[in-house]
Amino acid sequence: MKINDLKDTIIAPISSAVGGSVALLRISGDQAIAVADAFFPEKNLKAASGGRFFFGKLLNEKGDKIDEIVLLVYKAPHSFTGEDVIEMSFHANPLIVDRALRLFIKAGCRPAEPGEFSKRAFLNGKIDLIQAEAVADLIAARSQAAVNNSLMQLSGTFSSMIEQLKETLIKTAGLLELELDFSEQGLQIIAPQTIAKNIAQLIKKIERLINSQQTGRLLSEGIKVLITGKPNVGKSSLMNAFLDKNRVIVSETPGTTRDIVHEEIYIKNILVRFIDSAGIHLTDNVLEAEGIERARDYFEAADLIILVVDISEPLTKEDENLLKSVTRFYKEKLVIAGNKSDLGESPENKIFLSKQDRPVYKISAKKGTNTEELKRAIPDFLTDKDNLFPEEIFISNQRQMAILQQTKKALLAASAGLSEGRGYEFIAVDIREAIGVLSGLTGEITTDDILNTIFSSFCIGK
Amino acid sequence: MKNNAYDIAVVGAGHAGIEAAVAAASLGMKTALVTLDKNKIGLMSCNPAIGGLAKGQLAREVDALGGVMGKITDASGIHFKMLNRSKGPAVQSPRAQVDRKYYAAVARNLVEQTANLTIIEDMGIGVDVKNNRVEGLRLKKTGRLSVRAVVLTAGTFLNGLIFVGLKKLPAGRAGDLPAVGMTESLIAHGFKSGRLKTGTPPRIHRDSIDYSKVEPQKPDKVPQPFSFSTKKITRRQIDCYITYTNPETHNILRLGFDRSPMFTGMIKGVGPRYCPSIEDKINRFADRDRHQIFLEPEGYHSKEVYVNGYSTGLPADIQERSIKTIAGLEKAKIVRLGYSVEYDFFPPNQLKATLETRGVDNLYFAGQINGTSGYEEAAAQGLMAGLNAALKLKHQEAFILERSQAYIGVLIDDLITKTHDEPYRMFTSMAEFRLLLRQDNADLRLMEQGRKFGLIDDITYKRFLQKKTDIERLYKQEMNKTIDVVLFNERFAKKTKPLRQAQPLRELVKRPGLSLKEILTEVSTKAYLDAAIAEVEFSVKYEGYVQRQQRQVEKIRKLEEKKIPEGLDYNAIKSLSTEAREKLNMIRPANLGQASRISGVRSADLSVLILYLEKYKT
Repeated sequence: MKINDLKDTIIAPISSAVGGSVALLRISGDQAIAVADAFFPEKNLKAASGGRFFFGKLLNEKGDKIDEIVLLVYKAPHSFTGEDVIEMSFHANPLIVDRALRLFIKAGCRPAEPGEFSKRAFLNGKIDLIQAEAVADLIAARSQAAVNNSLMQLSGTFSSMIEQLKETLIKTAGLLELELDFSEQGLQIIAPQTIAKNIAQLIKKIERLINSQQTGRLLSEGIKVLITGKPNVGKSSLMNAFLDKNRVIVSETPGTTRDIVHEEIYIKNILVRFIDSAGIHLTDNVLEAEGIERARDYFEAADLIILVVDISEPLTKEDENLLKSVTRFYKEKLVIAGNKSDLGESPENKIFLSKQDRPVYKISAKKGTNTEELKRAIPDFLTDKDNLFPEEIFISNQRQMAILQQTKKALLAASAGLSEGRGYEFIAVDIREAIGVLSGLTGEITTDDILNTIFSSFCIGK
Repeated sequence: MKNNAYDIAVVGAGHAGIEAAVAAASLGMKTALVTLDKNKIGLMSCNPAIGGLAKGQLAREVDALGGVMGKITDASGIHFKMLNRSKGPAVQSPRAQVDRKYYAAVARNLVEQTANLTIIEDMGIGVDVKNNRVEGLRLKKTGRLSVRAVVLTAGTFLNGLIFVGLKKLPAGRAGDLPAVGMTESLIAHGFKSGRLKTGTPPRIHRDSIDYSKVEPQKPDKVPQPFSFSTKKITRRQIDCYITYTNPETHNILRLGFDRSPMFTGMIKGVGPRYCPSIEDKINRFADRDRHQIFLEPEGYHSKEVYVNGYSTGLPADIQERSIKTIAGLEKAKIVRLGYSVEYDFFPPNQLKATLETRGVDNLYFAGQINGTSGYEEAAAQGLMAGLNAALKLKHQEAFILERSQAYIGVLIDDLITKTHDEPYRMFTSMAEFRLLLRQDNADLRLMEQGRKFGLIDDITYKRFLQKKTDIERLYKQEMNKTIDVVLFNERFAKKTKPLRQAQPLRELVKRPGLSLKEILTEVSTKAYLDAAIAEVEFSVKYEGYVQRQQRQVEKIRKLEEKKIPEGLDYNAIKSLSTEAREKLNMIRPANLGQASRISGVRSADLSVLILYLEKYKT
């Protein structure tokens, strides 16, 4: 993107390309109002104050009607981009929108590049980088929690959180520098232990943010749940109970579920996607490495593994094999559903289940006993309860993550230096580095490269 | 050339003026040094000491470039001390008490001996400007000098006003007239001026101190010279003394707070980094019941003792009463009261990095006139202004130091890119590359430059080359050597963990508590300069930190390399914020690095500038 481009008046559709009955076009730049005014003869837009809307006909250069539209006028700097902005609502016919676009391009507007509106908003100081990224995330968010998170980032909650971290660091650095500069006066301004304590706290906070990535991913991509268990143990019944419908074929013949069913539902506003376990067979006779290997791929892909066992009968070898192979590497993902509780519980199982250190739900998929409780617990298994839902912020992108990792690294170096008894002049190097890196998060100093990387992830016209 | 015609005229013969005049004259310029009183050349108006934290680094840099401050200090120092000797080399700073009278005498002598340099006893009252270029200097008695460049180093003399207690008195310094007329002349040429204040503590009679109640502070046994050209300090060294304030002192001082120019708002912008006055200290560190006071003799024969740490703007009665509560000072006789002086300065954002003014060509400002405080800060600017004035007249490339090269670079960059509402004093915290800018490597950083200007004598330069050779030899011939495990464990058992297998010196020296010098004696019989050993030890011991700082330097250099055209019209860049546009128009940074350090220029503004300059290039 070149600087001249910043002077251009740009145009792009800002509504989704598919469906809907209204299409929105946005024009932003110096000429936005004049250009719109030229083809909207019923009202004098140039004389209009910002924040007004108008209804009228949009005509082409020959005076033919393109559409009857609603037009909004924003005056710089009170607009999304910080420039003069016109937004027009058309009837969502691609032919109409296309004619309008061509009309304005002919009149001197340039089609906006992906993310260009947001980039202008950033360059005009309307939003910082985190907020810009939030715009992209907001549009792509797959769950209410992810939407909330993006909205929070957009409103600057995350930015101000980073500011707070930075302020603590700057304050610590300030005291440390003060001590260095006045060491001849024999004042102890800040003890090494105090600095160490401050830094340890900061590291903790940053780690929490880093750990929140897991939550962030779950919220934006959805939680993948694998329901597994030996054939005919009631997996499909359980899924139906979760889905509250009968889409999956339930058969009395083991092994009739063949498709990998991808069902998506929202539990507590979180997207949950079910993977069917049809590919997993750890029967008595199929104990070969290949079977286990294949099962592991499923375990790996899942965020949560619900292992269904039949508690009315003693566990079989296959149950135990499955349990073993899950607990070996993916224990933290495991939840045990003891199905068919309506048929009673075998005493061996009672003892066995009480020994498990993973959550156990005794359910009856058929009768719907306890299934709702298990369903509602799904998001809770996966999320750090201290760190989520709905006010807490989480990290949603790689750039932010990399910066937090670097900050942590610098702070760890500082804390190592302190415990080795290094002089404050060395600790100061680490802390200054941490401040510098952290500043990049909200975009303190950015080169065009970084800007373009961020803004290129936008779809056109956002 | 006519008698009253000079290449360069320097106005003011304080620490900035001396450096400027000697440097300019040494570069072959016919130079005039204008001073009110020949006997007060290089007079120390405040503390008779050179150096201290960060200031010591500046003084060493001035010397490495060929300035004179270090040489004069070595000739007149009576109490040399390396501060922070127990800490790392990056925070060590040399400091020396000097004999005030003798310092001035040596300075005068040095100036008088300098070829091409004429001393004129007079008062500068204005400059003549033609075609935007200075071409004349008007003097009160002598009349007009025809000049090609002027360096203004007027110190606190421009419309100086002294506050002694509650009394006001027009003066440039206690006992000297202020300079009137110059400010008005500069304002007429479009300069903006402001007022600043600075203060000095009371002096007491040396015979009124009860020495049995104060702790003697010994100078270093082997004084380290300031100048790289000085081989050894042979002058007799004398003690200073330490005593402390106490709660009673503080109570009395507090009684005067309502009459303090600082707390009543007369002195503005007192920040945490700048706390010279005793009232500020007891105010900011309210939980401390005592503060250190240094009693520093002003010379071998002087009756005055400088009460360092007791700088105050409080009224006379409070000074008299409070000082008598201090141990050893019960009968102290104040010979001179502490006072504040208010003077004109010219906000330094009107300067280029060469210290030439942006408004008038060939006019340079250096020292307190730029809003700085301190002899070393003044000397550094004086040297740079004198050099650059001469270089410009000789049509040679300007001499600008980067922040990563020298404290001098930090100082000047801070002056021209930041806004200041209090006198600027050098601190180590202002140098982001503190680990690289040490007092002990000032020669390695700068002496080649000084030599190029012809300001470094042959003997000094030869010794410098020896140091460089020794450093190279150490790296090549010694640092990769290993030491016998048994020998090492035997020799250093008390100092460090035992060694299991042989390691090269470059690893061993990283162990805390082990010095390169002691390990070296075990593996080599060759002789190396101590200075070379110290340099290698630091660079290897703190390799990781040094490398990180160097990477930072590179990063910043990339921004510095993006030049901003001089006449750039910021008003044409629409996306800049209003504040950024105002600041950029006022400060007119030479590159993006400078721009990034201007407060009020936000990240988005910088991004806009980057985009704009990319376009501008093509």
